[in-house]
Amino acid sequence: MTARGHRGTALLEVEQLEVRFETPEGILTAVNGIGFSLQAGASFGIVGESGSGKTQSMLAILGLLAANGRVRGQARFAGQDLLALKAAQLNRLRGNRIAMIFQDPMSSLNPYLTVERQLTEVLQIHRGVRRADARKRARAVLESVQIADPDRCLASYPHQFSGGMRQRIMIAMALLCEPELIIADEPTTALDVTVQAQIVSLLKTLQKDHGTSIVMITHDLGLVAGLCDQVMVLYGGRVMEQGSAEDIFYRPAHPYTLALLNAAPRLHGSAGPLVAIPGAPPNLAQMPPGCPFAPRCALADARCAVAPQLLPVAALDGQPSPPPNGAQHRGAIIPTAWRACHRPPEAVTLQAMGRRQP
Amino acid sequence: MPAPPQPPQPGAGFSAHPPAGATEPEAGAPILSVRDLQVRYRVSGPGWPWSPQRVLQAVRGVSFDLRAGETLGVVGESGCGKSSLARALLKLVPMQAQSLRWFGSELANARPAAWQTVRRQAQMVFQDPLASLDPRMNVLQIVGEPLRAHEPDLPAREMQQRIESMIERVGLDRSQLYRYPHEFSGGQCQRIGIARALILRPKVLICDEPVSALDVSIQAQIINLLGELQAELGLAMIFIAHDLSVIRHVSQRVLVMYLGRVVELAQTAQLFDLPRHPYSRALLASVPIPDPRIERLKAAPPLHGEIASPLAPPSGCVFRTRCPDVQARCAQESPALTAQAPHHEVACWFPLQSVQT
Repeated sequence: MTARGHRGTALLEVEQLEVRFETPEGILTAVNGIGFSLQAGASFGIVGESGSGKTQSMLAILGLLAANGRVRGQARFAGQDLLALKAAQLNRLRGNRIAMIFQDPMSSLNPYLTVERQLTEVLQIHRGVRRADARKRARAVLESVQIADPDRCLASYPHQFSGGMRQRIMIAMALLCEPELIIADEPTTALDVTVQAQIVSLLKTLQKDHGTSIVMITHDLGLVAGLCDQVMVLYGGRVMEQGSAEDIFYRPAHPYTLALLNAAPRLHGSAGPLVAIPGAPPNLAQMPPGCPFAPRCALADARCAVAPQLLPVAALDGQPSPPPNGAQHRGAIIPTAWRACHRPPEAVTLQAMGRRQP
Repeated sequence: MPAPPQPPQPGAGFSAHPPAGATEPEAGAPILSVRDLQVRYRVSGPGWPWSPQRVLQAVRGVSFDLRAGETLGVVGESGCGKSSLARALLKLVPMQAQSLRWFGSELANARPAAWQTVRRQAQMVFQDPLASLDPRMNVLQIVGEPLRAHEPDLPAREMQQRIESMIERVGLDRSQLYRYPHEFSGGQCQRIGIARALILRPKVLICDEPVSALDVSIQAQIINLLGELQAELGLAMIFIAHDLSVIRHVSQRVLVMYLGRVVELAQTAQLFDLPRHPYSRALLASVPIPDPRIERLKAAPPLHGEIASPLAPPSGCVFRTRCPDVQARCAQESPALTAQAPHHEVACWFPLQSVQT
């Protein structure tokens, strides 16, 4: 992982993405204006708790929202706006140039079909190859994801495998057409920690060997730390903080990022009581006005009733500045971190020092 | 990949328990003392509904003591038998043991009625907060049910008072007493589960993955709540989790399980600083750490493959099929849990001597 952000042109550029659901209780805004830019060969982490909009934002990009979902904004993949494409055009991209790995491998594999049928189908549709050639390619890909007995695997049904093996098959399926972009939605949440380490190492190898770009959706800060160059922290559908992994983990400048880092139990350091975040994540149907984190934030004050803008961390308060999606700050000094908070970063840093246990 | 079925090996589970009296020399009689606990399930055979049944041995000879006020963490991957162990301790699943003493009385072969007093003193908190609450009961009924079962003579007003004070103690509001489980979030449901477990003022709380279904911010609240309640009420806890960092924050001692056996039993600091079993070391090395510099240096995953099928366990040491330090002896004999240092027992023929993480 070298020269983050300088590896070439942006493969995926998301701007002002907004996802709304029309429900009997009214219109819910699940994703509220997020944007990022992913360079070819880089990896991007989206971190958030349940209901933060991390999954819906990526489903929206791929046109996979539920029927009552509406999306606005832009998502340019290799120059074309995914949100403006027709279903037939999207179908030529999905599973071919963009692949998604879902959280639950059992419910995303077809229980009625053998692994062979599910894998060869992808190649027959996207590449138009014959079944026998497709089988050869499927077998090779299964080997590359370290499945010991690929022939037996091809002849089996999904229920005959453990969770870790199913996830490997899902990854193999995603890799069949050598996609430029893999979107992984909590790919290891259902797996044991030793198997998780295997899958993460597999994803890292793919990225290194094939230059595949990865969007990793997760609630686990530890996973993001090892895999992602750039990280976005979502809460209540809004970006709280966004920047390089170093910025997020070593210089958190948003009270939520800091609280999240403090709330996670650690393997090293103090084993004392955890610094819990009071309250619960917001209900999308009853979003607080202004900053969604304000009701749980130790630093909240009257200003937080108005939603803060996402501003570069280095910029002075209130100064207008470009949004964090690559194209618009060409030529200018490129900031590496943005945050949406009215309080000055110093206040957050001070709080971090006060809370750190001796 | 499912392994081909093999007949279960009788006797394989009987070699790994320490000799009687080999526990730590600490003051105070243990409130729970387990020797050679076994859990076996009958499962349908391979292939057809009429194929002969097979025996799945989920727990193979577990022995340990639990002392008053301490938290014993139980950690292991899915299928290692940790939940079966928790349930077997209260005889909620079929179990056999050489000895199972709760509060000094032998219950290994006791009649069901003898368990009533134990179940009052030892309560459980379950993993799935919503699924473990009856959707047709409101909070008052859910939290009051143990009182109705164990203290039927309690006056209604006193019962209401006890429920109200317990509900407030776990961080819910009196106004929520008449609400139903579906109206609460996961974290709140877990608080209700904890209130139900503590309403009888038990001496022991068995928590089976109480925080693994919760968001990080809520998980910390529940862990802290359990810690406070433990200090207030002098509870002993058996805390089961697959997350090592959670275990580190709650436990004084940790029992590491693999395929139904205890592979390591040590004080928390010792286990995390100097794991002596290759499996414990691999488990620790697998946990992702929220620090990019440390995490990016990790190269190969510490373990390959997956846990063997409990229907076809390997011969000898249960971990040998994945162990990086495996040798010929490991396939022949099963290592017993033996003390490698004070308060540090390991079941391995070739335990690690220094830090190798």
